[in-house]
Amino acid sequence: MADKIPLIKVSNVSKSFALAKRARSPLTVLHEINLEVRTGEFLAIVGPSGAGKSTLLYIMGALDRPSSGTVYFNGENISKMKDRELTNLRLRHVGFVFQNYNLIPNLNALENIAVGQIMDPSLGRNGKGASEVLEHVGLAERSDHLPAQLSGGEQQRVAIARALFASPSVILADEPTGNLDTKAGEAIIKLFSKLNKKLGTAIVLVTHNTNLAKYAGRKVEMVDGRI
Amino acid sequence: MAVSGKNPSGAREITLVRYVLKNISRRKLRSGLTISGIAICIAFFIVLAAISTGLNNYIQSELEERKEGTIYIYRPVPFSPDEFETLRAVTDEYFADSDIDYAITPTIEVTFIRKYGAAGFESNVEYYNLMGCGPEGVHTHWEQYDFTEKLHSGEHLDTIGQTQAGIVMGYRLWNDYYSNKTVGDTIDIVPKNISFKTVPWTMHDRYIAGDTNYTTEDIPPIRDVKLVGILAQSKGYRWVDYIGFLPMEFMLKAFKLYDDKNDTYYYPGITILIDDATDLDFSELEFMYKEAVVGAEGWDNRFEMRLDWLEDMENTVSSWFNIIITIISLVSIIGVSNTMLMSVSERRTELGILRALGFSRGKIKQLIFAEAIAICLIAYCISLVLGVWVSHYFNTQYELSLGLGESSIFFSPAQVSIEIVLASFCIAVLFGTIAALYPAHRATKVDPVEALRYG
Repeated sequence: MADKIPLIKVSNVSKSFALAKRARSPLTVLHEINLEVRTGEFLAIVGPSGAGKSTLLYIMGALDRPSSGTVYFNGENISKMKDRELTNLRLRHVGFVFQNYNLIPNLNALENIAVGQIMDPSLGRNGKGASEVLEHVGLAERSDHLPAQLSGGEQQRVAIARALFASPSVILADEPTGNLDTKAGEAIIKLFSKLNKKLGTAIVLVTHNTNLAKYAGRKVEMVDGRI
Repeated sequence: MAVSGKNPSGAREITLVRYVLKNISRRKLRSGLTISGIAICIAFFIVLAAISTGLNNYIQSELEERKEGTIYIYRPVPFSPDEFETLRAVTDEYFADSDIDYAITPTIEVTFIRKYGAAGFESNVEYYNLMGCGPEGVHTHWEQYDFTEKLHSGEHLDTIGQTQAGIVMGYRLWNDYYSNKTVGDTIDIVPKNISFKTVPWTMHDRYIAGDTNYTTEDIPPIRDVKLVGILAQSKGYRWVDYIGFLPMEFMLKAFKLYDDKNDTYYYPGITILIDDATDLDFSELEFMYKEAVVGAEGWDNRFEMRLDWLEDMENTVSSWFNIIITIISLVSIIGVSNTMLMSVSERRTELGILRALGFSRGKIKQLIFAEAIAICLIAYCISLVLGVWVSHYFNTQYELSLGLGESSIFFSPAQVSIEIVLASFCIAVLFGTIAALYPAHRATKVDPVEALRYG
């Protein structure tokens, strides 16, 4: 029964931005999007730059709110949730991976992974420890290294490990290979695929590279804010 | 706030404290300069507070230990015996209802000077105190009170009789002219070509300060007087070799304090000794004297003057203390606030990441507050060492300068109490808290989506 409820359901979601105070009409970047992400699924959202992929990803990940429409997470309407509830949702159920890795420069790999423990010291206690997660991404020997001492691919692996640390239901990856060469990019996508199969964590991959989307179980295309 | 420790895998856990300390160490120069500035400010606070405390404690101990009071009244025109009796009656009336023991006596203490140009002396100015008594006997009372005992105790070689006058012979004057003299010998107290001038007691301080804008009067040479007593090694008058005691009468004549035609003595001063002056209202007594005897000026209550000086100094220190506290508070708060604002501006992306990772606004605020407070606490630790060391140095220098009678910036004892340590700790925490208010507010307003997109 639970499997029939999508992990994330995006229903008629639109997102507009007011460009300037004097602008007559706002810029709409998402037009009534409907999308479902199922538990354990590897979904790729493919589209050119400016298609609204990242905006959709942030809305799905409770980091941004839609201008209209509804977002359900595990069947719960998160569109009207308070900031505190959304924060808690992100902490425990969503993992983000960004194009720029976005590691904290003065923390080593292990500390970057476990940084969520500052928010909640019990985080990650029930699941994999930071070291184990680092092993999953193949960087066990680099645990003490600062981000500046790691290559781009390695930094992204640490970012993936950080996303995995709280054993989230879903990892939302925003152009995770955008700053990597082809080989390293493919390695990252393969890692996502491996983790998806091994751990059962749902993965939503946003990319403009259609070649990488082939690793996903399902692919949706976005153009001009529409699927 | 989690306590730093190790997780089961053996790696150090990341805690708020660890995260904050890493952030501070990330910008070493900026953090170092900020911490140094605040450390100096707090150290300044500690030193000033220590001086204020030391001064306060000193005043309290002065009040406790020096309960005895001495009041001197001098005026250029000597008091007549009738005036003295009037002052005695007023004093009796004032103390009638109290248990305080007191004694009022006429005092003869006249300063006269000479130029003494012998080579090798620090000063070519010599002055002498003529101390003595009226017809009732010796009234210097050097042996009667503890504090005077401390100041004036010396080796009494000998004394003859009660009617005598002391000549202070300092700057090796005794050694130069009288070292072979003993009690009973006849001496001249105007050696060779040296002339004496009278200096009224009330002008004495002005004379020492080099101000000669007052009338002096030549006194006739004093020759062939009998040395009736010698006081050696007086601690009260450091520069004094010996004090010679001479018969009174011709001295009094020389200073016009004895009218031999009417057989009347006059007194240049009155001394009132009080065994416990703690609760006395000196100003009231002064007012009564002035009402009773016209010209009873020259009020010279050294005990009260000293306390007044200390209290003035304490007030001055307190005023400076308040001004400096205000300035260092502003400087510290602005300094830390500026550092934190720069930190928040530079770390917009990082704050966005933390928000994306599930950090609440409250936790972000906590991080900024913790960082600001940590900066202030590190500064506090440094300032504590610095402040205690400077206070100790100040105190040591003060103790060394005691008794030298010289002006010094080390004018007071300095005592770092536990209250100061705790107060400076609270101030450091308060600085950090206030300084972080606005930066923390700014940090919570960082939109994670914008921060992640645009930095």
